[in-house]
Amino acid sequence: MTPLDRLSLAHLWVSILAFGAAAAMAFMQALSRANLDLPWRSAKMYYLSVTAHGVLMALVFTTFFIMGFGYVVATRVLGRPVAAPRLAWTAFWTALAGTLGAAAAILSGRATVLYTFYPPLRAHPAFYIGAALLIVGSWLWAIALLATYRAWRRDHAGEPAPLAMHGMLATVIVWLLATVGVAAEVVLLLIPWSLGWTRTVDPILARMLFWYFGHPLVYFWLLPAYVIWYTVLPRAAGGKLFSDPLARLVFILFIVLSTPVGFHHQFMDPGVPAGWKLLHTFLTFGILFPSLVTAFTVTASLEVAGRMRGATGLLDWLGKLPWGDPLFSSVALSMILFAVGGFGGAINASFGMNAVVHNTAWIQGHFHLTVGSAVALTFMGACYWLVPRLSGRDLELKLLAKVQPYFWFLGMLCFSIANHLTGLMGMPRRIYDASYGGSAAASQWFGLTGLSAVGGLLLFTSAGFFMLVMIGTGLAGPKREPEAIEWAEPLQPVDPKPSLLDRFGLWTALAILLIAIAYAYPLWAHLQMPRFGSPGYSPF
Amino acid sequence: MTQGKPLDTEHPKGTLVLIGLYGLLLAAGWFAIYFLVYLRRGGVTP
Repeated sequence: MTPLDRLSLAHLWVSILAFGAAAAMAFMQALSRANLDLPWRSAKMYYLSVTAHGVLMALVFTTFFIMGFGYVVATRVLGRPVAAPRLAWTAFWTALAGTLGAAAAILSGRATVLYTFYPPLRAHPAFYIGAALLIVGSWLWAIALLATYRAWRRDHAGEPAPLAMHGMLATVIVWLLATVGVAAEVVLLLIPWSLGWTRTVDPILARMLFWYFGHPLVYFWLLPAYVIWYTVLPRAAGGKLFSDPLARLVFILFIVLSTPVGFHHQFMDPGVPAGWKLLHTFLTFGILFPSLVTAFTVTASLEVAGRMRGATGLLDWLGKLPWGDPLFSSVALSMILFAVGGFGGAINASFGMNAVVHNTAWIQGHFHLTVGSAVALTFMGACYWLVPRLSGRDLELKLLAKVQPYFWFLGMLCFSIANHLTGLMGMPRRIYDASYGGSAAASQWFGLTGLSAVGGLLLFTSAGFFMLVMIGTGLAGPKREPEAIEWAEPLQPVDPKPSLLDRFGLWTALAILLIAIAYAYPLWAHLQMPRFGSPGYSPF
Repeated sequence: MTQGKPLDTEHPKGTLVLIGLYGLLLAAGWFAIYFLVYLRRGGVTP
């Protein structure tokens, strides 16, 4: 194993272990929501586990996977070492120290603030400082990746970045733009407040800054998944990428449109003028477009693969695809679940109709189809592909790896459909007691909360299979010769000259301009209002 | 894309059908929620 592979693997293992811990928390919550009388079941334990699940899944599992995958792309696609290996390891240890600090605060019951950490819920300072360190670690990672790309550019002047690197550069830019918001929230508002240096905090300002970050966070998760869909899946299917320029266009559109959309998470919040919420509504619908283009391009790539395997009919190419390959099935099934999630997203983003689903179980049904499926299932599939190649060990327990994506798919359908329906029936999210004190309305939800629990059981089984395969491979997989990491080729040759789509500086400048238009005035207007702030609140 | 023709010169007809169907379902689902839930009942809390 090379030092570079060790760097990538270290990140993947933190990601995998965080996933395993978070999955166990999720199973407990699903059973609790089904009103099963478990030992040690209490509101305190429930909210602690919801917080740990959200933070470990949404922030730790994803961030460490993306960091590790970024190094794989930078070194294997560009064919050169990381430009600043010491910085890369510093990034890893900084992010890990932050993660352990935040996890300690959560597991000791002193940071039960859920993954959104909205004030006035107040956590122990270790939670906020840990979160800040995780972000600082990711910034150092971004610098290491950009330095590697610049070194490559010096030797390849006038060439466009390979598509996988193009996608990772878009990921880095989106992340650097987005994390300005959460860094401001945590450093300027929450850390001083949690340390007692300030008595009150402005919850609305904190929410504006959080959602400035919170929605592009979705694209920080999603863009590396798209890199896998565009540059790994077509090859795994035995075909070629349908269109390289369309893929580049998609990544550029995400740079431009990812950030100025956060108010669609605040449609019900006071303090944000309706006109600005409407602007963010339009921009949010704008960002559906690159995902629709992705659906087309990736599906067309799979059609190309099916044709190359001998299909001739309108849809028979679907049957020619390698559904028994865990990499392929994970990614393909994640795309189907994401398509269902896209429907819910269009409702969430609609200014008026958001009221129908606001703060209901619909929301958790939705984001488990996006981050919990499109992202998580893609990353799991990528682990089946990457861990053996990086560690030089064969995949263990291959049968479990084959069935695992299907368990996830079925489990997520049960879980998400049940939560969408109960959400439409008015069931609030983030409530511990599913009986709601024995109310008549709540009794109508019981069958569906049971279906959600069945989904949770299937998901937990799937997560267990994934962990067994990964740990088995890492500890006992038969050693083998190192295998190359190969990427999909486009159907038509890539233009050797850079195009407008390769001008990252231009698109980043446009993104900053759009962010300024979407956020500068509402933030300024908010800061001019009389603001009273809130003292901290810890329910447990 | 039919057998015997170059893959890079034909439209991906199966994909166009699938994506077209998805677009129709997405629009139908949005309008279903609009007419059957939003206009009939309104928000979660009145």
